[in-house]
Amino acid sequence: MTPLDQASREERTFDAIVVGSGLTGGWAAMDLCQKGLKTLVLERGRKVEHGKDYTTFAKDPWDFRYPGGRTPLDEVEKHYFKQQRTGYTVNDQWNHWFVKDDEHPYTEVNRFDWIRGYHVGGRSITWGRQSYRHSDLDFEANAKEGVGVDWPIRYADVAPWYDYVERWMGVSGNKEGLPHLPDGIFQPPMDFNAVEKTLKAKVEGNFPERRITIGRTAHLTKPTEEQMKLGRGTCQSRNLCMRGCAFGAYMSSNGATLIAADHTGNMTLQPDSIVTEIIFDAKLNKATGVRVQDAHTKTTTEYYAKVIFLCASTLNSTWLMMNSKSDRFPNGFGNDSDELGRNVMDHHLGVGAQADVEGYEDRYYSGRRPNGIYIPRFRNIADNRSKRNDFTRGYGYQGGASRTGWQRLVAEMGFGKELKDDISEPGPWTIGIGGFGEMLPYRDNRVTMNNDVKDVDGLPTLKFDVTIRQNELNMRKDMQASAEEMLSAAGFKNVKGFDRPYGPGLGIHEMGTARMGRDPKTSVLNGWGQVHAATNVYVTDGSFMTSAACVNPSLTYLAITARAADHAANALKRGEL
Amino acid sequence: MMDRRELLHRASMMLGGFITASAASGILAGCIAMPEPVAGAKSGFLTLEEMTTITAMADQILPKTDTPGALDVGVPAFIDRMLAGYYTDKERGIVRAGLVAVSTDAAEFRGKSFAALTSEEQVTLMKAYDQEAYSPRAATADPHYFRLIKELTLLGFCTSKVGATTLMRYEQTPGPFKGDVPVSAIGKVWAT
Repeated sequence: MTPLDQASREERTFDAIVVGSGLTGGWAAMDLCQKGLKTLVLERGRKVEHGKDYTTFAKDPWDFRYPGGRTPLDEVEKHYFKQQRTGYTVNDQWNHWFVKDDEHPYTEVNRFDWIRGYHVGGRSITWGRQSYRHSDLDFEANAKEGVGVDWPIRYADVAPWYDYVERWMGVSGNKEGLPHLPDGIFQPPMDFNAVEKTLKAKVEGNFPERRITIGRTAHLTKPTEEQMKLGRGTCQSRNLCMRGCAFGAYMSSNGATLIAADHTGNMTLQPDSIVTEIIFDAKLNKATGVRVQDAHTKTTTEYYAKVIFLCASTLNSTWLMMNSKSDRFPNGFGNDSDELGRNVMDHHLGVGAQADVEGYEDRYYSGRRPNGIYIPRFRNIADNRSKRNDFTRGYGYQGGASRTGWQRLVAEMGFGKELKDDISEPGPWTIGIGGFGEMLPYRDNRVTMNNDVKDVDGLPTLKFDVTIRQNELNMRKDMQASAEEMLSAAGFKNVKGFDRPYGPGLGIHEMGTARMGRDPKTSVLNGWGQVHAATNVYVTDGSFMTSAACVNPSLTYLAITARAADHAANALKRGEL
Repeated sequence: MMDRRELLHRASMMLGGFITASAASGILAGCIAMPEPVAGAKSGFLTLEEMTTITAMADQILPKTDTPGALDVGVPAFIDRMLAGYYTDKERGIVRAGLVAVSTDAAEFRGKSFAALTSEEQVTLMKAYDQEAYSPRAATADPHYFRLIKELTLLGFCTSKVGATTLMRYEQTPGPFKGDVPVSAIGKVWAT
């Protein structure tokens, strides 16, 4: 077979092009292929085959050069000096899923943690898998408060797509009947442990407006026939998810959508292909294709399609649009509003409380639950008692209780036979909860193109100027105080609040740099995710987010992606694109 | 904090006339396991003399009983590997200086190397070190070498296959999660 980059123009022409193969790219690919569209999926990174390329999947802690996969500091300092800021992303177990900072630099006017991976599947291999719906509290917030611009859609527009996404990918969780955290289509919830049961009872008893539920997570606890046919199975509570899951027990592109897309026979998946530019035809007033740089040979090839989906991750889709300049779009593709690259949002986190727990010595758990407890937002909701004067919006908490292991002994005196005996004993329980707070869209929180710093591929890079402001800082005080208050109410000991240094991006929830809106003058995309000024281009990664809400955003990206794919296929049928 | 002289004095007092001259001198000399290379990891930080001391200390920290001990799982070689490739220059310096102090103490105490002391003599010195290492310290103070050695011994042992599977319960793939079970259903602490 002729390699695609040497094929004829006709062979390089598809019905649809999807840029990126991560969570949203995989989903766009699946839906477009299943709707009969010949789809080219372009991924800048290397090929990754489900299972086969999860090279650390079956390793035990002692199979690594240093225990548990620790990466030595000299390598961290050379390659992962920014990726390591999370404290958990840099480890030999999964370093191969993250970029090397020396190869993919970016510039920080203010600290910004841009944690990412370039390979087939993208961050769908390493994501946190927490899956929550937005509600109209979120979709209406900007309009009600006069912040940013109004979302052009409401919950009712997205609800059926949430249903579809949850049912297809599998989300384990519990229905709570909360209007501001809508219930979904759930597989059986994961268990609480003994201490979390107490926390739930005490908090709900003491604070009627607060609820504790188990995390809603994209893991299979009771796979459907359809999921099993794709080779997916029940979660085995390894909690080694970031290595990649050969059981396909959590949702990833590699283990789910890309397999389903491949089954249609309509997908061409091409790795090592960096999309550098969207080709715009001013006469047709639409995009006709994309320009691709081969990651190895650096040669350039053009591919053509009727419809293009940008799913390259928020800041890379934005980069691509900024890099696509033409007479019609001198400031970047679709950027008539000058909103492209602005309104960068994340969820601010790293603030909460922890405590020691006395008792429960005879209780334990079996397995490593890849999930925690969830405390939904209870500030500034419909209930008047929840109103705050010191900040708008709200936050949720994630956390959990567990028993300490041998590590506690490092901090204690003693050695010899007694120390050895102690190793075998489950240690005391501890508990911690950390907040995820909504960050408002600020126009001057932005990324811009930096031509002075080039990446390993010789391409310009991004410069970040993003900070949290007074609303977030006030919210953080309440996030810490309320966490302390709940752990104390539960009767736990040595309650200690924390507020760790936070840099935007640390939540790895970059959002908002090509926002949806009703008015092309103040937004980049319309309510379908189409670029206002070139409607055959859809942007369905986190770029479209008009506000951040306080819940993990990926489920909403997927619902919007599925809705957009349906819209695009119908529009194509009607000859509209 | 005790000074070194006082520490040695106390050690002697604790032992009283209980210890006689040991014939242990050199018995360890033939059984020091120098590290074997591990792909991607460095090794060879510790000298033979230092390895001999570390070996004796690791053996006291987690001795072989009816279950395997630190030496059964290669902790000394592990410590060398961690010091060579994972710990910082500063930490390497602290351990090296600490081992010099241990040798000096052993020499002043019984005129022998630490490894050549009797088990009781070693324990006596180590109890003093343990006390010193875990006495209140300023938050900004450097870690005590004995704490580093103990940490490395625990880390090496508890992340070894034998340590994780004999003294603890280890399952790479535990199966579906159960949130609230009696300890007796698991038996021992989870290794991970």
